Amino acid sequence: MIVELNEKEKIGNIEGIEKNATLEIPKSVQEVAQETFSKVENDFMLLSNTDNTLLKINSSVKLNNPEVQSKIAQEMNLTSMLSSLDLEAENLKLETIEKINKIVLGTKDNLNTRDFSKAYHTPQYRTDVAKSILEARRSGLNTEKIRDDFYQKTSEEKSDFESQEKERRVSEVMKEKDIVFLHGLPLSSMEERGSDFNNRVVNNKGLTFEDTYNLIGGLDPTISVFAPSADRPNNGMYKRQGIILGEGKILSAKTQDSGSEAFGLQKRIPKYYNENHKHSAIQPNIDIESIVSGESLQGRDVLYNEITVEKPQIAGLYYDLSIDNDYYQMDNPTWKATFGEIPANEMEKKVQEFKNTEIQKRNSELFQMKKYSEKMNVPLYAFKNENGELRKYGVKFIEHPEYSQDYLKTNLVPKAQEILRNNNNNMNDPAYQEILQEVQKIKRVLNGQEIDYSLVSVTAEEIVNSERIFSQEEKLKMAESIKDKGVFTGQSEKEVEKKLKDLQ
Amino acid sequence: MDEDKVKEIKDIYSDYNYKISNIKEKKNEVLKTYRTRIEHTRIDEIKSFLQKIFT
Repeated sequence: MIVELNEKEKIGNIEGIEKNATLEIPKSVQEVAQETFSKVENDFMLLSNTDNTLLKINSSVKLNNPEVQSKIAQEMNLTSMLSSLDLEAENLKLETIEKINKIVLGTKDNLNTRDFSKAYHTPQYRTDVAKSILEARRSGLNTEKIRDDFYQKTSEEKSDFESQEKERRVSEVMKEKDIVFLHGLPLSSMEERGSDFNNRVVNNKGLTFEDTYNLIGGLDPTISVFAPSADRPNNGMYKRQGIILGEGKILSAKTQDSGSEAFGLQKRIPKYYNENHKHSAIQPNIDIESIVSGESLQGRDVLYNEITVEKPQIAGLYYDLSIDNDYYQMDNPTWKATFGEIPANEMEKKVQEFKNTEIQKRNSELFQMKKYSEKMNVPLYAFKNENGELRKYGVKFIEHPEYSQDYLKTNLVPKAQEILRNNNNNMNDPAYQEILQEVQKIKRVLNGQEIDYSLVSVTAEEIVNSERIFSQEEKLKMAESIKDKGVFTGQSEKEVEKKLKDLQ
Repeated sequence: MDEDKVKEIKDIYSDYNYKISNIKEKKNEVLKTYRTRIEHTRIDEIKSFLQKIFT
C-alpha cells in the first residue's frame, strides 16, 4: 500500500522529517503528555507551601512565650518531617515526568540513536522509515517492530563507528601510515570547482581560495578529500594545490570518486560505491591503505580517490611541484600532432619552451601559495614525484630583500644608462646585456615567476606535529568572513548561525 | 500503539495523583497536629491566666 502523506506529514526536508513524520511519536500522545505535565505541576503546587503555612499558624495562634512554641515544634520534629515530605513530593514529580518523557521520546539511548541517524543518514532513508511507520499505523499494524528494527540497526552502526576511533582519526592514520589527506582548491576563478550538483548547501560560484579556506577553518564542515599517490595520473590529485589536513574523522574512503553529496554543512554522503551502506555517510569498515594507490582497480587509470572527513582541521597548505618529464619527451605523439612535421632540433626547442612555460607557471603559483601561507599563518608543503615516489617537503623560501622596485630604479637603471652613454648607445655591449639580464631576473622575482626556495623532506607525522591549532577568535573571524559572502542556502544558513553562536 | 502509550501516561498520572494526595494528607496531618498542640497550649495559658485573676 502506498501511503499518501497529508499536509502535516509532508516530508520535504530533514526538518520536516524530524517534526512531522518520523521517528517521533504522533502529536496526540504528545498532547496528552503536555496536559499531564501541567496537571502534575498543578498537583505539586497545591501541596501547601510549608513555610507559608507555618507562618500562618504561628501568626494566628501566638503563645505568650515564643520559646514554648519552638519547643513544641522541636518535640514534634516538625521541620524535618515536613522537609522530608516535601522532598518525597519533589522526587515523585520528577520521577513521573521522566517516566512520561520516556514514553514520549523513547529511552535516552533511543534519543542518541535518533540524533545519530539525523546526523549521518540520508533524508530519503529517514523518510522511508517514517513512511513505513505511518503505513503500519494506518493499517492498524504493529509499528513497534519497525521502530525497534530501526533503533537496533542504527545503534549497532553507531557503536561500531564509535569503536573505530583510532583507525578513523586523520592524525593517527597520518602518523601510522605516512599518508596525507588533501582538499583541492582552485587557485584562480577560471579553475573548475567541485560539482554544484553534489553541493546544494553552498553556492560555490564566486568563492575564492581564501573564502573556501575560511569556510573550512571557521565552520568545520564535513568535506571530501583525497590521499595522493604516485601510482595515479597527476599523482592522484584532484587539484594541484589546496589544504592539507592534520585532524578529522574519516567517514568513508573510496578508491575512486564516490560523488559524495552534501545534505548540510555537516552531512556528506557518498552516492556511488556504497552498496553496503547506501543510506549512511558511514562506511562500515575502512581500509585506507588499499584505496590510496588504487591497486584494486586492476590497472585502470582512476584519477583520484575520495575520502569524506568530518570536523577537518587544517595543518597547512600544499602545492604539487611535480613536472611530468615523460610528457616532455620527444616520442610523445602530442608534439607531432601539435607542431606537425618539423626538424627534430626545432621540435626539441619548441618542446623545451613549453616545459619552461610550465615551470614558470608552477613558480608563479607556488609564489601565490607562499603569499597565502604567510597571510593565513600556516605552513606550506610541497609534493614532488621523484622516480615514481611522491615525496613530501616543507618549503623554505629564500628571500632577497635587496630586490625591489627601488633597487631597480636607483641602482640598475642609472647603471644601464651610464653604460649606454659611454658606449654610444650600443645595446649589444656585454656589460649592458648583463645589467639587462639582472633587471629581467629581478622583475621575474618580484612577479613571483622566479623564486628561490629550498625543500626540506617531511613525514606526515611531522606535518601533524607542526599543526597550529586555531584559537576560538580566529575561527570566529574566519566564520564571520564567510558568512558575509551570503553563499549559504536554506538549512546551511541556519547551521552557520548556530556555529557562530557557539563560537561567540 | 499510540492508544497504549496514552493509557500508559494516564496510568502514570493516576499513580502520581494517588501518591501526591497521600503526601498532601500526611503533610496536612502533621500541620494539623502542630496547630492543635499550640492551640491547646494557648488555651492552657488563658486558663492559667484566668485562674490567676479569679483566685
